Order: sequence, then structure tokens, then C-alpha cells
Amino acid sequence: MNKTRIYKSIVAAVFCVLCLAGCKKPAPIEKIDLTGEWHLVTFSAGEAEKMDVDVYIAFDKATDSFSIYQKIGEGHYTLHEGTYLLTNGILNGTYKDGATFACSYTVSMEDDVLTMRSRDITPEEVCTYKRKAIPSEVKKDALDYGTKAETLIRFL
Amino acid sequence: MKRKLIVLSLTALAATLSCQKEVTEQVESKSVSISTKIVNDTQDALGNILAVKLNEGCEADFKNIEGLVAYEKAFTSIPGKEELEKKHGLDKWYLLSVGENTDIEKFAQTVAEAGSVSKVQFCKRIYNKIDRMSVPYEGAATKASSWAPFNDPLASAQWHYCNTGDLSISPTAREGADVNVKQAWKFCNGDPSIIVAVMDEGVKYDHPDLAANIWTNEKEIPGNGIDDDDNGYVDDIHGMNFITNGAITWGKEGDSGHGTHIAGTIAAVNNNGIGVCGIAGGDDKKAGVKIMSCQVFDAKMSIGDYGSARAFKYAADNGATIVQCSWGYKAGFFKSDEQYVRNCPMEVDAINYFLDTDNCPNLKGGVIIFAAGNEGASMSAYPAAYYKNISVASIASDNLPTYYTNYGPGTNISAPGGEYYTGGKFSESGCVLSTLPYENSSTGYGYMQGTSMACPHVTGVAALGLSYMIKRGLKMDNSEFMSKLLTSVNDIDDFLNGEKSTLVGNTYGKLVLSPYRKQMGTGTIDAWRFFMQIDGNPCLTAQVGKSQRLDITDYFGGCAGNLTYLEISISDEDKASLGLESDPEITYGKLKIHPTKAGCGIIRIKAVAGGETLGTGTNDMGGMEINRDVAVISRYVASSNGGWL
Repeated sequence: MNKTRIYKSIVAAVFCVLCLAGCKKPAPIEKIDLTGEWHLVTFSAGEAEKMDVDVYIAFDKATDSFSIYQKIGEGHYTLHEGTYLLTNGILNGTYKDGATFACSYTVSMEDDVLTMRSRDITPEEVCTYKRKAIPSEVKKDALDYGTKAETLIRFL
Repeated sequence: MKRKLIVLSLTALAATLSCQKEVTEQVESKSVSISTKIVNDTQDALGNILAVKLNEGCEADFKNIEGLVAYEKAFTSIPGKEELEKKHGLDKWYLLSVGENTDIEKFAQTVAEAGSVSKVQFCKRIYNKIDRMSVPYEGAATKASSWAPFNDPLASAQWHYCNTGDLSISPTAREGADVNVKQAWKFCNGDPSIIVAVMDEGVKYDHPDLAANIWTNEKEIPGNGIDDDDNGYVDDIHGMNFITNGAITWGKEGDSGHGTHIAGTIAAVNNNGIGVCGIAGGDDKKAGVKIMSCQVFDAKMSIGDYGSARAFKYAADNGATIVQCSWGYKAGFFKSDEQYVRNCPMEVDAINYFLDTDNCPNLKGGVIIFAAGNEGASMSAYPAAYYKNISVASIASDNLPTYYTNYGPGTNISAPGGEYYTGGKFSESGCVLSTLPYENSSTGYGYMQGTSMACPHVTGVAALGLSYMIKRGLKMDNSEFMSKLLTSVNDIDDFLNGEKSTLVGNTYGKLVLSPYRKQMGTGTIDAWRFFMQIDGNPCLTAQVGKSQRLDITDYFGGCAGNLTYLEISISDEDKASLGLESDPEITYGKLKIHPTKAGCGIIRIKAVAGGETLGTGTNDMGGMEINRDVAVISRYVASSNGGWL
């Protein structure tokens, strides 16, 4: 192998590294698109799986809608739906029943990892999500929050 | 010499006195011993049967007792069950038949004198809780109901499953006064592996709306006069008649159809295009739970508690997991667990044997459900009130107590039992509609009212819940099962203000409702809530840094605000995880907690199902113990509707 070829190989390798490094840069705030399905990995209390917390969130930019499938503890998954607004990296949302999100969130995205930080609340709650398709059995198991509430609270 | 004689005389006198004292002591001790051994009196007892329990290791030897006609072991021993029989003392019980002209009290005293005997018991009569009245269904409904997912035409009149508040049911009918089974049926409608023993009048096992859900003893060959399966009973194909030791009957003069009506509420066949629905009756694709008929009433004949004891043993030995009992002693006849246990030890031994028998792989132990009684008494009757049994009170289509229901100490839960006079107007449509023998109704269906009818609603929901557990592959013990069942309720106490129009005494009047407050058990049974409890409860979410009161109705049902809570405990580890600086507590039916860091933990809450004190089997009459483990997670954020974001 001559010097020229070695030189070319090094340049190519450095180029690849730079390209990869470039890929891992956080997405610019204005270009963040939450569309897709996300699975909660960690929150302030620790690893979600260890805490018996299982949360999937689906965002759809085309309709500005979200669907949360959550199981905290035992029982069925419950489905919470609504609409969201993402402006300059700040996420706000309203559930179908009219309740707003507990707070607004600052979101950042890096590859397949989404981070949400609570705003105006201290201490800050930080949740990380990984892109992951919502399993069909989760969707099948889920009880619509509205249905559950209506059924459980009997209007006598 | 004279002095010697005096001394001798004095010595002899002293000796005599001493002997007399000894004899007196012996006689007194013997009399105390005999009176202790005879555990009850002859009031309302059968005159020709005596139950006797022997001491450990003693053999029966009654042959030479005057007046004895015959004796036999009270219970048939089943191979493989000897240990459990021994544990509950069933191997030591004998039944002695006494001659017609024999004084049974003197006979009992003679029997009690034997050193081998530990207990002598007169057999108390049991009563089915019934006014013996039924109104045949005479409509001609042929269309499917609007609410049921099945095509059974009479479901439209079964408001007790789904009450739309239709005022044709009764002038004060209220939407939601039902067992809320419609939602639950979306998930499960019964499982044929579960056997429910109906201890009552005989069940008409060939009724077209029941036949597919009747238990059949496959090991017995019908009509050959042989006990093919060695269970102690000949030709017991669909159960047993414990009065005649013969065939199950339902059509004699004096039979009311009570057992058949109850069986229909639990497991009338669903989606078969005829008649009514049953809570756990399956559908046209899969059979529902199976009904075993344990007949303890036959025409006008009732039986002593030795018959019910035998029926409990039979149910346990032949596969039943739940026993449905709409019968009992008169309210007030026993006023504490201790009195009941002392008076009816053979029945109590058999109840404990049943509760300790595992017949369903998904449930450890059995469940016994009783009607509270129909005397309008402010206490449940026994055995319903016994702290190990579930006692069911009755509500009407207006979601209020019926005029006849017993309530108060010993009562654990309520369910629709129907009422002819709700709203101050006679109408059978306010009663419970179910199957009847054709001897009682030409259509095979009819209305009845009573805690007898409320009880099978709870039994049906219990059987349905157990079916759901099988479907989900879930297991639990009977204590957890009963805790979840008794907290799967809707609130009733908030409705108990003012008066309602119904029968008061022998005429229409106003029934004052305040005496029923906190006296109807935990609330009214709800099948859907029971399914949710079986699935497991979600964590309660608390926000860090705030003192807050968390809703615990997911765990304790709609009655959470009115229950009596006894203990709230949390481990040190979980307390640290949540950063709790003070112990959690219950205030106004909510869990008061103040976490200071994000974490999670389990809080164990002990409460009373029915009343303010626990029944303990001793000198009291109280509710059943409920234990629930409430999971709490603390976060820095918490939305108002429980959504994650």
C-alpha cells in the first residue's frame, strides 16, 4: 500500500467519522417533528420498566393529535387521546376530555431518542423516550379513558 | 374407752363428710362437663336426630343407649381427602337417630356422659328466606332486548342486570340500579369448568333455559341404584336431595321454584333465543358456569343443620368452588359468631372444610355466599353473618333498600333483590325475573323478590369474575378474591336520605332511609368493577412536594368514602422511596399523602366490609376484613385526568 492510498483512506475515515458525528447532533428546534411512536425509557423516579410504568405515545403532525397508551402498575392499558401544539420546541396539549397537559414541556430529539423536560416546575421532571412501534397487543388491551371513566362512575 | 369411741366417731364422720364432698364434687364436675358437652338447646331443633362429635382417637360405641334407633358417620370419607376431613374434624361427627317416644334431652344427657364424646348437638332447623310468592311471567316478548348483547327475549325485563330507569319497571326506578353486567360480558360470560352449588329447593335441571348449564356427575351411572363413584350417594347425577337421600325434586305441593329461580339468575343460558339471561350463563358458543343442585328443602319439609353440613361437604367433594345459600336461621336467633359457632359446630366444621377446599386451579379455597334474610331486622341472620361468609342485603329498582331486607351488623354487600311495592304501587316488574319450574309458572319464567334473589346476583358476579380469571390466567386465594369482590361496588349511602314509598307493615307507607346508612355492607355489587379489580389496579399518581388526597375508588369502589378503615401501613423502604415525612392516612375516604421525592411504594390498607367492626368468630357480630395493597407513584408532574403528560 503506497502513501497516497494510506492518505486517501485516512481522509475517507475522518470524513465518515465527521458524517456520523454530524448525524448525532440534536435536531434543530424548528425542525423537530414528533410524528411517530415513542416508548418511555426513564423518568425522574428511575427506569420506567423497573417502576412498573409502561407508556407509549403516538404523535401525528398531520392531524396535530396524540394518543397515549399507559399502564402504571397493574391492570389494563388506558388510552388517552387529544391534540398537541409544538412551537419552538415547546410542547403543549389538551386531552379529549378538556384537561390540559400537567405542564408544558421542552422537547429535544437526538436520533431515536426524545427528551421532554417539564417547564415552570421545580424540580424539573425529565423523561426520555425511544422510538418504538406500539405493540398491537397494547392497543388491543387498552381501555379508552373516556369509556372507563363513564363506566366506572355510575350515574345513579 | 369413751374418749376412743368419740375420736373414732369424729374420724369416721370426717371421713364420711370428705367422701360426700368428693362425691358432690364429682357429681358437680360431671354435670358441668355434660352441660358443656351439650352445645345447644332444643329450641327450633329436630326431635329425632342428634349430632355427636367424638374426642380425638375415640371409637363410636352408642349401641347400648336406650332410645337409639340407629347411628352412622355424619360424613362420607373421600379417598385423598382424609387429611382435610381430619383437619376440620369431620371424621369425628356421628348422627344418632332417636326413637319417636324418646325424650331427646334425656337421651342427649346420656350420650354426653360417655368419655369418648366431646360435643352433643341438637340439629336446628334451617329456613329458606322466602315469602313463597312468585308471579308468573305472562308476557309474550319475542324480540331481543335493546341492551343485552344476547337474543334472549326476556332480558328486556331483567332490569336487575341493566336498569335504564324505565318507569314501567316501577314508578321510582333509577338508571344504574343493577349489577352492571353488560360491560363485563364484552370480556367474558362464564366458564363451564366452574361449578356453583345451589343449596336450596331442587333445581329443575331439565329446564330448557338451564339444562345446558347443569352440572353432571360423569362418574355416576343414572338410575342403577349404585353409588358408582363411592362418594356416599346413589345416583347423584346433577346433585343430591339431602332430605330424602333420593332424587332431586321441584314440583311437589309446597315447592315454590326458589332453587330454580336462583339457578337462572346465576346461569340461565344466554343467546339461546329463549327466555332470560344468566349472569354467568355463557352463550351459544361456550357453556356458562355449571349449577350443582344441593337440595336442602323439599316441598314443605326443611332440614336440620346436619343436612346443610352434609351438603357443604358434598359440594366440596364433588367440585364446587362457590356455594349459593339463600337460607338461614331467623334473624336474632344468634346474635354473635360465638353463639352461632357454639350452637351449630357441625355446620361450622363443614363450612370451614368447604372454604379450605381447592376445586378451581385459579382460586385457592372456596367462597360461600348467603342471603342476609327478609325480616327487615337491623342485623343479618346467621349463617350469613358468620365472619367467613358473605352476607347479601337487597335493593329495589330504585337503588334503595327493600322494605324486607335485613341490614346492619354481619351484612357485607348489597344487590338487586326486587320489590313488589316500589314507589307505592304493586307491580311484579319491580321484582327479579328468572326461570321457574312449569309447576309454578306455565311459561317457565316468573318474578320473585327477596334477599334470596339478591344473593344469586353476587354469586353470579363471583362466578363470572372467576371465569374471567381463568380467561386471563390469573390466580389468587379466596381471601383476596373476596376482598376484591366486596370492594367492586357502587355507593349506596349517599342515596339514603329521606324516605321511600313502599310496603311498611301491611300497608303502603314511607320507609325512613337513614337507619340503613352504613348498614347495607360496602355498597351495591358491580360486575364491571370486579373485572377491573381482577385485572389489577393502576398506581395512584401523586405529585411531589404537595400534600394531597388521592381517590381510592379504583381499590375500594364507590363506597370508599363511607368505609371504616382500620390500618394504613407502609414499609420503611417504600416510605423512603416516596420521601414521606409522615405516615399516609385516610381522610374522608381518600388517601392523604405528601411525597417529597419521585419514587414509588405500596401502602397496605385494612378496612371493614360491612359496619364499623370486624367479625372475628368470637363474641361479636361484624364485617369481613378487606386488605388492599395500594400502589403509589410520585412524580414532579401530575395531570388532572391521570394522563401521563
